[in-house]
Amino acid sequence: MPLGEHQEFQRMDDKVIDISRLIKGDKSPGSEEILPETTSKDPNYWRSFRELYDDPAFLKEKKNEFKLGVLDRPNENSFSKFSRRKFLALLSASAAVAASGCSNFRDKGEIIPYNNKPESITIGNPNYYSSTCTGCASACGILIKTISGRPIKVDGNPDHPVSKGKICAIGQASVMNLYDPERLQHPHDGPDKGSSKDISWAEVDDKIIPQLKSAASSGKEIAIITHTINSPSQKKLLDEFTTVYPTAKIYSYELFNESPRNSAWEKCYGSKTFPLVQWDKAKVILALESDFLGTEGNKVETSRLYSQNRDAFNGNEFNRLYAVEGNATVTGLNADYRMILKTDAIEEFVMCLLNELTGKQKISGFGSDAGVSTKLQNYNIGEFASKYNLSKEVIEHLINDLKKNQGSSFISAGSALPESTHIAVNFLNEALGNNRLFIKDVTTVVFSPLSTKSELEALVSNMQSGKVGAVIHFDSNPAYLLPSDYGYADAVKKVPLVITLTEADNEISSLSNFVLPINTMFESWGDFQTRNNFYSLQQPVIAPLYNTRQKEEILLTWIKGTKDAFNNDMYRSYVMDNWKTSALSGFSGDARFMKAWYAALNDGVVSAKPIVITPSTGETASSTTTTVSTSNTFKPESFTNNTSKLVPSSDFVLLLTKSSSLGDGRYANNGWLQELPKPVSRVVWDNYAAISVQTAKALNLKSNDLVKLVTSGGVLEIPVFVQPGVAEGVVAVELGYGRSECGIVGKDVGFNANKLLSKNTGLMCEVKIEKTGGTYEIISTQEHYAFDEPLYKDIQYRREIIQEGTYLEYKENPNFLNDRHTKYTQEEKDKLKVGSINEQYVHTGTKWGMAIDLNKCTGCNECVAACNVENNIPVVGKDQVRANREMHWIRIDRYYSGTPEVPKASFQPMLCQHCDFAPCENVCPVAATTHSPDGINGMAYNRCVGTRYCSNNCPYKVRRFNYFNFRDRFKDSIQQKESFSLMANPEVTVRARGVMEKCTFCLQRIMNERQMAIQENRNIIGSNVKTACQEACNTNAISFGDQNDVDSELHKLNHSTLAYWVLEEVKVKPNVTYLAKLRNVFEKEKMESGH
Amino acid sequence: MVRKIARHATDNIKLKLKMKNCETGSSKMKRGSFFKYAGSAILGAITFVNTPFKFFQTNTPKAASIKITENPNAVRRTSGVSKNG
Repeated sequence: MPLGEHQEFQRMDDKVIDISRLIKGDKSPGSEEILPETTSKDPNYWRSFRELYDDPAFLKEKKNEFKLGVLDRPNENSFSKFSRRKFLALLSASAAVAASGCSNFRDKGEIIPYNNKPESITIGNPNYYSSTCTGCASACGILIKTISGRPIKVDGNPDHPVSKGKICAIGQASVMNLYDPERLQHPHDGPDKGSSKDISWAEVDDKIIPQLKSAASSGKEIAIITHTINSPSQKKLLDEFTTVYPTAKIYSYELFNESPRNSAWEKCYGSKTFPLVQWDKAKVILALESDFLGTEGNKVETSRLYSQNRDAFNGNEFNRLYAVEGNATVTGLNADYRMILKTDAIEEFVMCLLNELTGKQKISGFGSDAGVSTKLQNYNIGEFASKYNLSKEVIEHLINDLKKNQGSSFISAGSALPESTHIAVNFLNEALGNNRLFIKDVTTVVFSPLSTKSELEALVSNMQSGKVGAVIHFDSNPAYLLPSDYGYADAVKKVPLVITLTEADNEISSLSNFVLPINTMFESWGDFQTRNNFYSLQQPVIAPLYNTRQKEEILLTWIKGTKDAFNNDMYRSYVMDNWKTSALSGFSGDARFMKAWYAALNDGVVSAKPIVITPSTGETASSTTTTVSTSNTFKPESFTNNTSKLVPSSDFVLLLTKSSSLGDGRYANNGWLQELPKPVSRVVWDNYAAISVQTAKALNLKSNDLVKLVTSGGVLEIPVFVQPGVAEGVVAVELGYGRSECGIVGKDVGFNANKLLSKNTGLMCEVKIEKTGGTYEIISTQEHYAFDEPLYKDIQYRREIIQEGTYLEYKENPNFLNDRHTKYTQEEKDKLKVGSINEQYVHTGTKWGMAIDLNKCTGCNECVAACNVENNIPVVGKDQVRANREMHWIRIDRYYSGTPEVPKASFQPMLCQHCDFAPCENVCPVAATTHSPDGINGMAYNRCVGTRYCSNNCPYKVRRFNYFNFRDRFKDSIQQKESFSLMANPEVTVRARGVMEKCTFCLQRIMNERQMAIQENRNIIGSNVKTACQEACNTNAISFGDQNDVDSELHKLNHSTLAYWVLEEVKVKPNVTYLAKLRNVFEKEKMESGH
Repeated sequence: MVRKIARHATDNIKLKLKMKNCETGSSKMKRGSFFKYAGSAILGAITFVNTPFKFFQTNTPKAASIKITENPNAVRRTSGVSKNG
C-alpha cells in the first residue's frame, strides 16, 4: 500500500463492534466483513483480541496517552468554602510548624568511613565471588557482585561448564530474598503448633536433641523431607544423621520432576537417568509438549545450545524446530512449524510417526519386528492428520526432515507426558539413530532418587498411626507442594515433634513445633555435583544478616548431640574435610590442599574425572562415586510389551505447568518475579486457566470469567484467559501461586492450582470445567506502551517494526531485506528523504550502540529481570500495572500474526533507542534529558520536573514515570524497610516521585570502563562493557559496544544485511539495531507491500 | 504651661488611639498580659522546637540495626571477572 492511504484503516476505526461477541462467534451483520479481512493478511500482526477486532475502547486508549480516569479533574463543587484570610493564617502557621519541624529532620544516617577497613573492600569498587545458585535443582554457577560487603547483583559464572555465565530470572532476582524484611530473624517455637515465641538457639538445641534421641531409642521414625539432594557433602551429612539416629529416613520430593522420562528410559535402556543431549548438534528438533526453551529442564543450557544454530553469521546451518503441543509455550511460539494438538493425542501422533517411519519407510530394522509391526499397524498418519485437522503439508515436511536427518535430529517429550509416551518417543529416537546426540561420557548425578508415591503414602500412613516420632522439613514445604490427597497436612498434626527449617514462614511452618530460620544461599557454604564431570562450590559472601543458621549446621549440631558443638565455621570445615577425600583428594598435605581449595573457591567449579562403571550395576551415584552411562542397547520389548497407553479423552485435559517466574512457588514473595510478565500471555501477578478461542466459544467464556475446575485431586475456582494457540479441549494452569502462608507480597496472589493435583495423576489429567458466573480481573501488559498510531492498524507490519523472512530466502539472497524496499516509488523515496531539523552531531570517539538478534531472542524475560536488579527498578504492584505504570526499562513486545486459532509469534525486546535525534530531548522544558558526546540519551533526575512531554514524544514508548514513590506506596512500604535499602545498587540513583526514567545503556558500567581506560592510559574498549540485559541473555541475542569500532562484533551486526532500525522512517536515528527474524520454513514468506 | 500643653497633647493622642481602637474593635492589651502572652509564646516555641519529632515519624533508627560483615572465609574472585563494573 502506498504511503498516505489511510482510508481503509480509518474505516476500521469507525466500526464499533463487541469483541466478546466476536470471540464467541456470534456474527451480527457487519462483523463478517471485518473478520475475514483481519485473517486474510499474512502476516497481520496483533497483540490481543481487542486489537485484532478493533475494539473501540482499545482504539480510544491508543489515541490517549493516559488511561480513562487518570486525568479526571476533581469536582470543584466539593471543595470546602475557605476564606482567603483563614487560608493565609493557616499557611503561615503551617510554614512556622514546618520550619520548626525541619529543625529536627529525620536523620537518614551518616556516611562514615571505616575505622578498620576490611582488606578486601575498596570503597566504590565491587568484589566478585563465585558461588552456586540454589534456586532450583540445576545448581547453576553464579558470580555475586558485592559493594561495601552488600551483595547487589547475581550473574552467571562464565567458568561453569553448564550455565556458562548465564542464569535464569529466579537467580537474577534471588538477591531480593536475602534482603526480604519478612525473613525469619530468630528461631521460634510453638508448642501448640502455629503459636509463635522467639527462643534462643541454645534452647532450640536443648529441647530438640533429647526428643530426637528419645524418638530414635523408642523406634519411632524421624522423617527428613527435602528437595533434590545434589550436594555430596549434604548427602554425607544426611547419611551421618541416619547413622546417629538409626530410625531416620530421608524423603525427597519435587513438584516438577523428570520421573516419567527417567522411568521410561530405565525400561528402555536399563540405566536410571535420561542422558544429556547435544542440542547444538540437532539439525531438526521435534518438541512434543516440551517447553525446553521455557520452563523444562535446565533451560539456561538448552536455550544457549539451541540458539547456537540460530545465528545467521556464525557459519552454522539453522536448525529447524517443530512443535506439537496443546498449550502455547515459549518453545512452541519460537518454532518454525507449530502444530496445535490436544495433549492427550500426542502419544497417538508418535505412534503414527513410528508406523510411518519404521513400518512404511523402513528407516530401521525395527519395522520387521513382528511385535513392533503388530503394535503399530493400526496407526495411520494421514488419518490422524485428518482427524485432528493437522496440516498434512507440515507433517510431510516433518517426516522428510526426520528421515533425512537420521542421527542428527531429536524428539523431545515434555515432562507432563506419561511414561508410555516417553517410551514411544525413546523408540522413535532409537529408530532414527538419534542416540548419537546423547552424551556418553557425561551424565547427571543422582545422589538420592526422589521418593516414590508408595514411599510418601507409607510416610503419611505412619504419621497417622503414630509411628513417626519427629519430622524435619529440611527447607521443604510439603503442606503446599504435595497433592492434597496424600493428606499430609492432617497427618503432620499427629506427629509429636515437627521442625521446619525455612527462610520465611510458609504453609508447613504454621503446623510446626519449631520453626528455625536458615541462611539464604548468599550466607551459606555448600558443594554441588549435578554432573559427573565437575563439582561446584557455594560460599557465603556476607555474614548472616539475622540470627539464622545454615540448615546443614543445625543438623550437624544435632548429630554431635550437644548445643556446644555449634560454631559458625562448622559446615565449612565439614565440606573441606569431605573434599579432602573426594573432589580435591589429589592434593595431599595441608598447604597443597589449601591452595587448591582457595583456587576452587576463586573459580567456583572444579573438574572431576568421571569414573566409568559398567551399566549392569545400574547403581545411582553415591557421594564418592559417580556413574556414567555407557552405550546402552535399546530393549524393543519395553515398547512392544508396554500395555499402558494414553487414550485421548473426550473431556477436557488439564495441563499443570511450572510458573515461568515463580517456579514451584518458593519465590512467591519476590516482587520482581511476581511483576515479571509471563513470556506468552504477558500476564503479571496472577495465574489463570488458559483456554483456546474455540473452547471459549463453546463454553461462552471470555477472559476474566471465573470457572470451576474439577479433577480427581480437587476443585478450584480460577479465572480464564483466552490464549491464542491453545488446543481445543486443553486447559493450562501455572502452579506456584495462591500461597496462603508467606510474606505480604506473595500471600494470596493468584490461585493455588496445587489443589488440582492428585497423587495418582501427573501434571496432566482430565478436568471438568464449568462457568461459575463471577469475574476476576487478570492484568496483562501486552497492550501497554503500544506504539500509538491511531490511523494505522497493523502498524507493526506496515511500519516494519517486526521484519521477517525465511532462512531459505536469506540463503538465496542475503540482501533480500533491502531488496524489498525497491518497491518504493520515487515519490515515496523522496518523502522518506525528509531531513531532520537537527544538525547531525559527528561522534568521532566512542559511540555506544546495541544490536538485538531476533533470531536468537526467545522472549524469555531474563533481560528484564536483570535490568530490574541492576537499575533499582521498584515493584509497583498489580493495581499500578493495571494503570500502565509498570516501571520496567526493557519490555518484550510479543506480536502475534495469523489467526487467533493458529497464531505465529514474534518477540522483540524494546528499550530506549538512544536516538541521535532523540525527540524526547527537544521537548524537555528543563533540559533534563540530553545527549552525551558518546551517543547516550541521558536523564538528569534532579533536573526533571515531571512534565512527561518526553514520554509523550517518544515514538518507542520506553520512558517510565514515577507517578508515586512506588517504594513507599507498595504493600505497607515494604520496599522502604531497612533491609531492602541495602539491596540498592549504589551506582544507580534511586529515583524519586515525579521523575521520568528510562534505560541508560547501563551508564554506570560505561563510566567504570571509562575510569579504567583513564587509569590504564588507553582508549575505551567498547566490548569491555556489558549491559545487564546483555549479560543475562541466555541466547546471547544482545550485543553492545562501540559502533565506531570497525573491528567490533556490533559494527559487523550493524552493517549486516539483516540489520534494520525500528521506525527508521521517523528519522530519529535510533542506536539499537535489530536483526530480522528468519523462519526456517520451506515456504517463502508471503510478504505484502511493507509500507 | 508647658506641662499643660504636653498633657493635652498626650490626652489627644490617647483619645486618637482610643478612637482607633474603637474603630478596629479590639481592646487594648494590658502590659502584664502582654508579657504573659509573650513569655508563654517563647516557652511554647522553645518546647515546639525541641519536640522530638522523630517520635511521630516512622521508626527509622539513625544507626542501622543490620550490620553488614563480609564473610572472612569467602574467597574474592580475582580472575575471569567481566569488566562491567
